[in-house]
Amino acid sequence: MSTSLLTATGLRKQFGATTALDGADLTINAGEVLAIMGPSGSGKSTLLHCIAGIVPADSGSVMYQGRDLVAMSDSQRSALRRSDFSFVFQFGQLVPELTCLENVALPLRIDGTKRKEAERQAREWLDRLEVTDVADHRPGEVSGGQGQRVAVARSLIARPRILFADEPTGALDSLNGEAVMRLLTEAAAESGCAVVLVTHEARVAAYSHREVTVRDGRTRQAVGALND
Amino acid sequence: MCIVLSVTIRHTFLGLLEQQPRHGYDLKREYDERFGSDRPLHYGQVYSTLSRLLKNGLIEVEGVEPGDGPERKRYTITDAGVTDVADWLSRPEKPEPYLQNTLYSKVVLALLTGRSAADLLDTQRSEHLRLMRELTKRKAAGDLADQLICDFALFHLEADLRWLELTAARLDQLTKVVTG
Amino acid sequence: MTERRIVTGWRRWAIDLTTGFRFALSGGRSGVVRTLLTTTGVGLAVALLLMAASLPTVFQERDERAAAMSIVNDGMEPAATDHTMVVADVWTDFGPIDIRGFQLQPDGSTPPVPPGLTSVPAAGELAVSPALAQLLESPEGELLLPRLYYPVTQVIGDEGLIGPNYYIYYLGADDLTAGDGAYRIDSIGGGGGDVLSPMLLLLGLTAITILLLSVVLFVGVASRFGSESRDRRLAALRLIGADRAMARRVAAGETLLGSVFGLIAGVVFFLIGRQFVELIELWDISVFASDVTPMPALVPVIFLAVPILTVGVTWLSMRKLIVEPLGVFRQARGQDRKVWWRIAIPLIGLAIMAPVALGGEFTGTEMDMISIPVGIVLALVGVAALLPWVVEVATRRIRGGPVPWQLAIRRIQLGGDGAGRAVAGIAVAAAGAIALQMLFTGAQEEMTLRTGISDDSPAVYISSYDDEPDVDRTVAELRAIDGFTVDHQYRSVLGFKQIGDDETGEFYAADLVIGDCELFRQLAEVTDCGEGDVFVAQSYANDQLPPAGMALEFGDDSVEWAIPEDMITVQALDARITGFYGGILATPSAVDQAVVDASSIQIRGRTDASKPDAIEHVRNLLEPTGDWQQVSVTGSVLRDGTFDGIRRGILAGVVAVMTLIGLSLIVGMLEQLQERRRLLSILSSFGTRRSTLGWSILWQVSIPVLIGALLAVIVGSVAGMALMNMVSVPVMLDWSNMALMSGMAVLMALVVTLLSLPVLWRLMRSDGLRTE
Repeated sequence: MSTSLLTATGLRKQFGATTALDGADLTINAGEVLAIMGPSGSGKSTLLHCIAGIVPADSGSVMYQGRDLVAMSDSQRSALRRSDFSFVFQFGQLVPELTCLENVALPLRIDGTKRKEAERQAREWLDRLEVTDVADHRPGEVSGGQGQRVAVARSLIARPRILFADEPTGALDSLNGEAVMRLLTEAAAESGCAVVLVTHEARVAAYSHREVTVRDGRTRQAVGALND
Repeated sequence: MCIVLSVTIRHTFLGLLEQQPRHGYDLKREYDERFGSDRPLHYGQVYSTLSRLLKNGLIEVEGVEPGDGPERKRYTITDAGVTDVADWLSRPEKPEPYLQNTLYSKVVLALLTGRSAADLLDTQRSEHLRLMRELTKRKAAGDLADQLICDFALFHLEADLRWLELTAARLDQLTKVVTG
Repeated sequence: MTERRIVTGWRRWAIDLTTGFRFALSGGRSGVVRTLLTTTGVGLAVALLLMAASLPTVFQERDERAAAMSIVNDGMEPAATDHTMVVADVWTDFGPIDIRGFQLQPDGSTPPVPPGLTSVPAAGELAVSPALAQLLESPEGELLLPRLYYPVTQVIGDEGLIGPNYYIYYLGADDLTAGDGAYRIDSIGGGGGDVLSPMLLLLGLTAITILLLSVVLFVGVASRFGSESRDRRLAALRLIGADRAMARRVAAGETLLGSVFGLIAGVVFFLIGRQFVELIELWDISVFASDVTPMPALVPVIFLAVPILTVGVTWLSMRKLIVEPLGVFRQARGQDRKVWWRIAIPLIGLAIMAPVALGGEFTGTEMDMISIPVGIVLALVGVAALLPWVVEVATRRIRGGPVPWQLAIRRIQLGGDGAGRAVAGIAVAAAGAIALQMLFTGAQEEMTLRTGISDDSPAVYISSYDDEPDVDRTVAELRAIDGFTVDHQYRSVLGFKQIGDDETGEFYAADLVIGDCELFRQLAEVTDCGEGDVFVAQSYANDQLPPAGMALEFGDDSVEWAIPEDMITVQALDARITGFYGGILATPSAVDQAVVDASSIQIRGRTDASKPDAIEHVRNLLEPTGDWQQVSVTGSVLRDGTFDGIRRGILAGVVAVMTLIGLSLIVGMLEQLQERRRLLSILSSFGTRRSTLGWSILWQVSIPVLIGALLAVIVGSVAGMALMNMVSVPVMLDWSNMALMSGMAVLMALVVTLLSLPVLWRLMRSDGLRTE
């Protein structure tokens, strides 16, 4: 019996006339990798945004550590995001003018860690993600796969509880995509961090422990989904 | 190969009979039209399948038309037969190559018998994904040869999944075509 | 299948250019703004160029008029005929104003008539210039009336004036005698012209050059507006089948339209600006609007060169762009910034100016008139070119520091964009302003006028003509003037002797001062003095006093007097008594009465600064009598309004340029923030505080601005020093001005940052993370 980390119930969200979510449910357990799948336009990105507190749902609840994200103010949700959640996107998330090392060190530096210590930890994470060589290069100078690994390193360095990844391998070829997924799940497992993975690719979803399908704004748990 | 086909034939007949009681030749004709494509059934296959189904109590004879021959008998499905069809449709297939015939049959039959084809597809997808997970785990732990083999299977499974998704997206259209 | 005729040759060009014209006019709001800005910029540039082309005309016209009205005593003494006239110079000063004046007494019925007059005024009648007429009628002119109380019968026409603000009068007279303070002439004109100081020419050129450069910068910065939509249009063209050359031609067409409109606007600006010229009075120089006419040869050059240049620049800049159907890409900056040409440009500019600068000789020759502006342009352009390199070098080594600092430095290191260009523009404007201010300061020093109004007590010098006026009564009346103090009074006369002819002979001269011991003790370092003593004081200019015993001829009547043997050498306290040749101080009993009679009377006094009218009373008392020469005044001078006016003008210009460029900086920053909105959301998602990013924007803007200000101060000062040296003005650095420019630059950086902050904070909201 493992612990449920985040539980979303009955989420509804409308954007103008479009209904993006129509009663979606979701549970994330500690340390697991959950895949959210579905065709485009199904609302899976919106679901991700709602459970991560980026966008407040119109109705329903998202319970995290006994608190309901839907009822929180924007600054409270931002604080939660800073401390417990982190994000990896398909592209465009690294500061182009900083070196990769400085990018990875950034979350620590923002929290007040001294530069030397932050960069030391950053180097460790770059090693773990097998991109040691790019430390002094800028994001524009490295390949897509390396860049995504740097992004993963940055998202894990501050020890979040949940890592939200929105199509992290979308812009990568098969080999790079595989490498990123492998390293991402391994590193997250080491840190005890849960991963919520939005993807439409089955081979990427194959790195998860279970999947949730979103169709027309509603979720469908996998048949026989059991806690690991 | 034949065994696979006959399993499918068996269940196909059951499904067709669940839709409505039919004659032997009726069953053969339906099968050939919908599923036979370039390979029509032999009458021998038809009769042997029907007799096995009778023996297992999944179908029964409803009435007899005047004339000779098993094709003159009219068959109907029993409750046990309905249960069998339901079980078959709701049970996912083991993901393996050349699954598409079976899956196609299942989808059509679900539509014919008024069941949710969407659920069927979803269930199958989950099964595929489960196998893909296992293969991915094995890949991580194995050597290069293992990885190559696993990747091969993974790609094919992914192809199946793509088809499943596409079919799911086309269900409305398909329903109209199948049910006439 | 219809066949498409392939259009080639000049028709292709015409079509492409026309397409460009249409784009220029129809490109939506941003396109129209862009065309408008280009038109304005080019218009200003053309107006400035036309002004510059008019400078020679201005000088020439003034020169010709001055020559045409010159009345000089050439020493020829023609015989009196119907065509001759006796004239006397009767200039006077009124406050800071120079008033030229002539008394005219025709010998016959057809005397030479000064230009601007219909006829020579009858005796006792005045012909005055319009400015003088206005002054006489105004309440301020009351103090002038005692000197010019005659009726005004003519107002001098423009052809008799050097400038609209010229003060001159002609007074009809009937009591002049040629040879006795007056001379006879048989023609007017043909003399020397109005020699304006080369300083002024340099000033004009420099100011126009710097203004021009600023306008060019403005156009360059303005072309950023609407560049995105223009790129999109060009890409769309490519999509429908235009090739690269065609796209270039269309872009050239767009610019061409803007520059042609700019030409028309420029002529309009010029004509309008021309009318305002008459309102400007720099020191005592004013200019007729009709004088401001461009040299005919230069006008077609300007009209051709400007469009060609603007189109050429577009053409060149298109070479760095790759216009593809999918979009427009800028070629990645070459990693190797070639440094050498960036340092070479300003050095070449300074080198061009160097011969003139070091030689201290700006003479206004054509070579100078071209080389100096070119040198200035290169020096200033060099600032703009150097700035990115200097910024890069300065920031190359920096690694650590707090997060905002790090973000800003890295951003700068990544390479400049429009921001770099804009900051370079500020640096150029500031450098130009500094150089110009320095030059104006120097000009102010040189162009100082005699005003008689000062912040300490200026000395007043009064001399009589040879005639014997009632000295005691005059002195008593002078003492009665409130604000005037009489210091000394004595007699002096110049004596000289020439031995031999002009070429091979020797020439001796000395100024003889006749007074009492009391006086000498004040004028020189005289200790022992008794009646009958004679002292001699050397002048700094000439150390060859006439030998003792030599008889010099004194005064108009050449009264002879021998230099005594026993003169005591003393040091003069007042340079005036030595004159140019050296001074002899003699007590009355040491000289003959004849010499005393030949001498004229000198009165020294002082005016009180708080009573500026005192000097006019002195003049009114002495000058109308005809016995006394014009009163001359020396002393330190208060700043007059001209300098402050110019200073404010330059400041206003710099503020305008900085505002314009600051605006483009803001636009650039806002664009940058919009581009990075996703990144900003992501940054805020893992905890970056608003203040962190706010500070990073501040550093990002300030560092180039500060470096630019520093560069501007250095280059501007060097250029300014070179310019000042060119016209032999003592070089001094204008610290307050430099501080002011730097302060403005910093202020601008702050304002840009502050205005960007709200946008930044809005973009850092969480829903920027949504990617649709």
